[in-house]
Amino acid sequence: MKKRSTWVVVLLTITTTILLNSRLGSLPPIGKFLDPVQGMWQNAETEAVHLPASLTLPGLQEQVVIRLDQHLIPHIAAKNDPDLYFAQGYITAHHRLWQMDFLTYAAAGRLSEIVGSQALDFDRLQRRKGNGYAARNALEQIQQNKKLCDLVQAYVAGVNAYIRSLNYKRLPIEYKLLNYRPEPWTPLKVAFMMVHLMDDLCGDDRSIEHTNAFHQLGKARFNFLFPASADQPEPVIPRNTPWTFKPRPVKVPPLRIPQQMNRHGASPNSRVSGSNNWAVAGKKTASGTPYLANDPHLTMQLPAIWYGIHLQSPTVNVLGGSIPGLPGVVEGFNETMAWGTTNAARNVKDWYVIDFKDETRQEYHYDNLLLKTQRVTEEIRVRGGDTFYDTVVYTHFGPVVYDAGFPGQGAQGNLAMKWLGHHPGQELWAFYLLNRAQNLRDFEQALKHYKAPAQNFAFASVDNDIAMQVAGKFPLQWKDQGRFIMPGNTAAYEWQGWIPQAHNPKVRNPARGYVSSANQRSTDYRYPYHYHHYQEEHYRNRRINQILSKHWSVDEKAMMKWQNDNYNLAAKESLPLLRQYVNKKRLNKTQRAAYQLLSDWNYRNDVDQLAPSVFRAWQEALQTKLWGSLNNTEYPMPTPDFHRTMAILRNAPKSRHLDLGEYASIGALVHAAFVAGVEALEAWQTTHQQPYRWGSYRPMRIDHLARIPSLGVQNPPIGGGVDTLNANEGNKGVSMRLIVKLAKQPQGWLIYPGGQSGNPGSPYYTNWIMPWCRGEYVPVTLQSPQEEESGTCTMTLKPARRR
Amino acid sequence: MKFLTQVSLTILLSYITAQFLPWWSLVICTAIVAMQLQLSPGAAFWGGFAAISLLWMGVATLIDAQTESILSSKIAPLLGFQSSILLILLTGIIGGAAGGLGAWSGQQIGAHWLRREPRNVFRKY
Repeated sequence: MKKRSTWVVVLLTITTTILLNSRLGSLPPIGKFLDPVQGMWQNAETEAVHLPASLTLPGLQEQVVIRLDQHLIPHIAAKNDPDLYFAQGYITAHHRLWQMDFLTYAAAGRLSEIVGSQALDFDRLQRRKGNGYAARNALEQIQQNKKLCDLVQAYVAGVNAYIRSLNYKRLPIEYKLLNYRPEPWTPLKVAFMMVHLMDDLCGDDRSIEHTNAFHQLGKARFNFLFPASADQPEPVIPRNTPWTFKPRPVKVPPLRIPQQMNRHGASPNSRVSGSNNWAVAGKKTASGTPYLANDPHLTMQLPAIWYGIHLQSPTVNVLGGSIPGLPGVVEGFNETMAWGTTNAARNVKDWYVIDFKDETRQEYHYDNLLLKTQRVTEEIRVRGGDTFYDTVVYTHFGPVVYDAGFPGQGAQGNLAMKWLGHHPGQELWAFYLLNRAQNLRDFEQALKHYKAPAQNFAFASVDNDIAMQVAGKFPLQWKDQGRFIMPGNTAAYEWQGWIPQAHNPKVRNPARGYVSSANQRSTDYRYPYHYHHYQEEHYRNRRINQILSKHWSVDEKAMMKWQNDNYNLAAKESLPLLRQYVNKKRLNKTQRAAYQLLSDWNYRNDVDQLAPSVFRAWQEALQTKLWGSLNNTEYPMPTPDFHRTMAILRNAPKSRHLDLGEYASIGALVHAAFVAGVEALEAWQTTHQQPYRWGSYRPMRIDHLARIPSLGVQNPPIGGGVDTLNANEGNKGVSMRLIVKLAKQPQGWLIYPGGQSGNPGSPYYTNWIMPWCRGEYVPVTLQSPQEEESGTCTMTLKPARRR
Repeated sequence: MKFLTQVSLTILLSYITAQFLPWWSLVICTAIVAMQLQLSPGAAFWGGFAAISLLWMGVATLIDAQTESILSSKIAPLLGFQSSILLILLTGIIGGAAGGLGAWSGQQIGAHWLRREPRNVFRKY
């Protein structure tokens, strides 16, 4: 009897212990997790940084010193390059392991392994886009260059040295929360990080939505609403820049848009991210030395996208923003030059309708031929579920992404994707060379290795050279190619080769004394090649040039002010026209007050202002009233952006292509939109119980990478918004600000929303968010801080001696 | 007195083993101590419970105070709690439950499986 009760107690104890040690639903193993000696409590950190004074690590050749400054920026001094990148891998993993590892899982379509079936559709899309194919091709590029291959391997070895040092206690908190462990790093994971960047920056496209719109609206109305852009008053390369080369000929096929509607757009019709950069020549600056400024705008993330780092070896001394998971510095400066990028947003992804011979999809028609397909079985392991097998059919264009089996089930045509990202170049080698470039020539030589994602590279050097180059590999296209899906059963609609790299748009030392870019079109209409942008900026580019053309003797203070500029050029230009349509006599008291706010507005989207909210509410109501009829939930269509809307209001308010609905005139519609906007604001105030100040009204958030709510930041108090230089809105924003003064000893200033640590339990996880909001910067130089400087912490990595 | 001995011995032993063994080593520690001391089943359970919950809450509170609740304030909402204090309490209860059960098991094992009862020995002969 008593023995039996003992059994019961012992079994109860064992069962409870096992339960507390296992994952229940989405909850972490609660006993293991809450154990204060090894569990989550151990991830909480204080401001004081503790690193072992020295570590012996196999894989190093010589001793490396890593000094963390008071901001946790590592200053690495190595005696050779492999050791340098080993140390970069080690210290980056120390601060950001979970983030870089998670992103490679996401790029590879392996999130289901971590979070279960909720990520299955995402993973299938990643696989079907051919991300694995792209990564293997990127890896092949790396392997073709012995030196590059060595440095990637050194970086990977550094990451792995860190991973090997981890026990449960020291695992990043996300591993503990999601209850999994880091896997060893490989050069393929580095390649997947490249694919992640390409997917983010040149994986966008609107041709599916455009095709839907073309068929639903008809040619005339489509062309009215979405005219193909061919010119831009302020392109990246200044207007009238002469093109001295003889362009390659392009054969233009007749426009034939497949009669195929697609239920699933390639991308949600959302505002996309943009960036700013500029370089100013010495003749326009107070000190006579050139300056470079760069602020890339991306989908905001915590842990922060960027990781500040200073790399020193006998071949290099460079400082700037790195991307965790990639060796080297991506934007920054060295002793003689600085560089920074914005996304070129050029179309390098196209869709072809595949005409399969039969249901087996083993062959497809191509002119008079039947071409064979290749089948790739994607094995997606699902945590807590059965492994999912997806068959992806590859054509010579690329993978068939959308078909009857994806997304969802149902009759739908087969769309194959052709993407430059499937065949990248040696981008990491380009960055390796950029990190070491001494002058404009080196800079241009480095960019010869750069194919994707295409970027506008700004350059400034201590030699007082400034330059801008659109770097990337671009297909030879004809007018309208890239705007619609295309027939895949003929060679006529293929990309016809490549624009020779020497013909890529660039400018050196323009007379105006500055270069700038903000995701607008690369060139004016004189450029002899056709190309299409999936996104085109119309306001930030002109705002930058307005500022830069009018100011002389500028300095870093001025640059900082401009990077934080909240001036809303869209409002300044459109309000005079919009306000004419408002019938003031028909406004009630609240509406009149809101109208008055706009009249008194200085056009700045500052956090504490009410007027920008009135303008935004009006803009949104106007867009809804004008383009609401284009909302088609079955076959998604784009809507004209605000810039196009204003062009129509200005130039063609009486066009028969406008659907005014219940309104007699465009004037009545604009008036009604104003009233509706103010009503929306009042409703917002009632719900939120606070005035609709811009800082609270405009949604703004920095999500945690795994969307774990309390690890993100809601509504950081920062101004700006879409169409302003300080472009923070929704989950998009200024991901880093960098300014470099190219004096004899270059000086830099940088800041980004987040902090150097990726640990939510560290004060350095978000310590830069408030300074970033306030427009403050962290000064940086190419001299490592002294050991005795307060707040610094030094770690020496020593090679393990072989016996 | 014996109760306090059980509590303090358990704290000491568990804290040491926790440094290099997984968290569930505490179940074994509480069991060993309770086995040796042989309190009543109830006292053994509450002794183990008190020891581990005090240890866990103590360490958690210390960390939380030093780090100004930087992490607990973010983790608590994920587990459905409003404050760091509640997370510390939960830590105490979870640890305590495991510790209490361990101690109870140890006491039972000691009392019924391992104890050499003279009568039994003699009956054989």
